[in-house]
Amino acid sequence: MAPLELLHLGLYTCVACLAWGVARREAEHRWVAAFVTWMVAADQARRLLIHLRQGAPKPYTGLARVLFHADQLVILSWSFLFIALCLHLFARKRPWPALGGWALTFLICLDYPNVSGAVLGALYRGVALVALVVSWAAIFWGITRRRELEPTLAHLIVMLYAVTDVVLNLVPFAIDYFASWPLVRIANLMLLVGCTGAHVWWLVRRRATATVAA
Amino acid sequence: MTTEVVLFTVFGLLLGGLAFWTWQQRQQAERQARMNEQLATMGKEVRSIAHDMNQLFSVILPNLQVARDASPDELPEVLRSIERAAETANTLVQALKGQQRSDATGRASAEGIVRLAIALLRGQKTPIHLKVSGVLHYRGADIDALRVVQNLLFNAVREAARTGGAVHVELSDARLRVTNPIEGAPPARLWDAGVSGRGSSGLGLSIAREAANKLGWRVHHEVAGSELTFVVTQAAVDEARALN
Repeated sequence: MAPLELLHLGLYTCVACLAWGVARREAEHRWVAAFVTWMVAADQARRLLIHLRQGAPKPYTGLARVLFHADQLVILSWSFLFIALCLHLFARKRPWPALGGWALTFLICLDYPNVSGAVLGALYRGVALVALVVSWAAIFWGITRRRELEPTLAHLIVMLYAVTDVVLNLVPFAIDYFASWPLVRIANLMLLVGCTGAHVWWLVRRRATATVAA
Repeated sequence: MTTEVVLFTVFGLLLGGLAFWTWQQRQQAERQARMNEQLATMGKEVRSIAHDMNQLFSVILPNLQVARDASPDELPEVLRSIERAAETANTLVQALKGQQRSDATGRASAEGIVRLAIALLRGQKTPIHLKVSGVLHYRGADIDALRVVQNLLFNAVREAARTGGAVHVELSDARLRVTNPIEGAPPARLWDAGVSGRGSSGLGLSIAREAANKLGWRVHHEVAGSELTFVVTQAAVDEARALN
């Protein structure tokens, strides 16, 4: 495993542990903890899926095709689970529309080999942009319209994820999302450093408050 | 390119953190404002209750002193006056506990409240004449209706006692008029808190107006010659809603 990937995995695992630590004290944070944990697991699952179908002739058939579709399911989960998280935290909506979108997009992906190569790339790009728009719409709506919404660490983490998504999707030089994968990893690393810092800050502040209260 | 990605991401993360911080500050400020508003409302309510109790004690305590020196013939009347004040105190407590006397449409008639307030003041020697020719309704807590009527009547009786006249209470359709004689012109800002030049706390009419607003009533006063009349009317909106 490359050092960058190793660092990425280590930091992601660290954020997941911290998130569960916070979730023990703040129930709302368990959704963020679950999302981060899924992202760590999905990364490792993808590594395994890619490894298993390595060398298989294209277009994929049989087990290789099953593994390929499983990989697609994981990739699509990044965007749709993030939409579900934003809808839940900022708009207090149920995740079904996001999960429905995930299933629908996956059905489109099943039209393989018609949906592959450039077509698949465009589909992924479209999904990422939809996720970007929907997540920011939910965030803006939550911040501006829901006066009773109490800002928590969960909201901060989701906002940091959303900001990183903007950088990765809209900055002109990063348009080719999958071709510039190392750049995505670098941006993600910075996001994870930010998330780690936010979690540590929250835990330290919480501990200080508890000490003062005692 | 890596440097640019790093810079943009750092900038974006800082911007996200700043947006969150701003949101958090705004929510905290709004929460504080809501809490201040609730405290202010609670303060007003406490002030009104204190005023209600003060009025009752102003009836009970002098009567207790009178009772000490009263002849056997006068004693029953004095004791009745004290009893009425105690009953009103009980009514106030029941009203504070949230007991309503509204009908199925959520409206209640003010006649019972008016009679209760008059009964409470009968021991004050000032004649009070009641004429009922219609119904004045209210929607809300009995305590507020009692506050309106009681405060207007206390003011009227106090002024009438000074000039030696009588108080006339007229309850007609959607209207209550409380008339008393006065010496000179009433204060310019009669309904404002703290406006009193005649030995009272200056809170009664202000409390009456606030309580009236809660019930969908409007209060104002009219001066004709040497008479001052407090007028309570049902708001037009309330009437329209009742018709629909």
